[in-house]
Amino acid sequence: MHPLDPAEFDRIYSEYWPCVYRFCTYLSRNRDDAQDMAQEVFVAAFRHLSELRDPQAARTWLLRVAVRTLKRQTVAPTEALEEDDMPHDPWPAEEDRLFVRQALNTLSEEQRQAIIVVKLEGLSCREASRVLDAAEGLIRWRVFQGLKKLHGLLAAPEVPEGGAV
Amino acid sequence: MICQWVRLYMSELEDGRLEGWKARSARRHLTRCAGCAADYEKVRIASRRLEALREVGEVPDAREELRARLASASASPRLPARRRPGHWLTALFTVPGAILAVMALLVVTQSPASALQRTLNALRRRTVHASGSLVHYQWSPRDGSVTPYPRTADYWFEAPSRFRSRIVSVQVRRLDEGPRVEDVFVDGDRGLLRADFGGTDVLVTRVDARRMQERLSPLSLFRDGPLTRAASGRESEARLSIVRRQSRLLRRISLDNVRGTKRTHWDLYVDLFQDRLVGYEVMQTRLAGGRWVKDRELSLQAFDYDRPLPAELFAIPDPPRR
Repeated sequence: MHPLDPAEFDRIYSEYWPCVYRFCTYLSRNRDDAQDMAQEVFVAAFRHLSELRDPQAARTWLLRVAVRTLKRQTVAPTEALEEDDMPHDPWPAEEDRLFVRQALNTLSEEQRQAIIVVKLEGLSCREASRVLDAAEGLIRWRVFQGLKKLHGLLAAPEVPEGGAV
Repeated sequence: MICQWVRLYMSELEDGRLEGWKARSARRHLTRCAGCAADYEKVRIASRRLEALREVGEVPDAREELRARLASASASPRLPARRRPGHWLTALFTVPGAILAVMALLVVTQSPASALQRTLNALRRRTVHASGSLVHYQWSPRDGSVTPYPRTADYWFEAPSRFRSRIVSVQVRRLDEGPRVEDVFVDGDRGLLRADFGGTDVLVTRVDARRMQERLSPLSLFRDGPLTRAASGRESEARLSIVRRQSRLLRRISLDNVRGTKRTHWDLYVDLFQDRLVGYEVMQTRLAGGRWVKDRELSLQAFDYDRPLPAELFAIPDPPRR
């Protein structure tokens, strides 16, 4: 397949782009970054399409590519500069979403990814273990711990312990 | 042991994916174990709250941008470092030439790397208050128009770890476009975001203090923040020049960064005589509809250094009763 065969590109785009974009929207800490991340992931996936052996498992494979791509990005030398581009933009589409997102972002990266892949993407723990390169039991434990912590964050008084200074 | 096992499967039990004997065993245990039942309730509530994140809105059309990126896959997306061998010579011929010549000589006698490092080192101060404007631009895919949403921006920093920001919308905004007033408080390892959407609609939430300090504040220049570290490692890409603004001679440090569809340009202006940052301008553009359009712009022009800042400024407020 020629990588830029227009018909093939259109097919792959229609099939995978929404999935990639949605996943990156969940993963990104700043919603403005979601589309950039999604494009990086899509380009990476497109380049490695030949490695996809089982089309039935395309979604799992794609999310695995996404996690790997994003992991690489976080150690890229320009990342630190990128992170400090601008003051944070925490504008929410609506209040609750911001609140939940903030809480989700305070979890450890492992817990956050496990919850996103299992609870938001709807993968089974077995599929998630392949995406995240971790044992199935570990994924279950991360999801449990993450959800429990999330509950605490969402229900707790909103000022850190010790109250006002 | 059974408690541990049930906890592992709680999430799958909650979303109906646990079946057969495992599901029956887990349910039976929950009726007998108060601790696990309480944990299960937490898992159930947290899972429901996560639903709020599911609505990601319309998926943007990136077909053309992706096609272009794949077509130029072998080309580097990053801007090459701009080098201007004749830059200092150019400065010599500008007005006022004589003063600039002296200042330029002071600069060129040291390498750009050490000049940048020296400047960055000198910028660290005990306290600072900076103010200016923050503009978000909304690009319309329909007609390509760009609408600015200006806000005033104030940042306070007190070494070593106190930070406060206040962003105020200049114009009345729709509720879903963001808060009218947004305050961030950071004191040590504690951080809080307070977003006022108008009336009684106020959101108060804890935030990660370390990330706030490092990511949210342009004043990370005054700490060993990411920008300082990154800039220090990119001397070859930083462009130093001398400019004249309001009768003052300033050293300008310019940096560019391109990642994916986002391009960021910094200009830092430093008072040559006092080694103080007196201007901080960041312009972020993004590729949209096949062209670069403005995305965000921050401009800080007023800097007040080393004055005692009132403790109340950094006091984390009590949350409203929800």
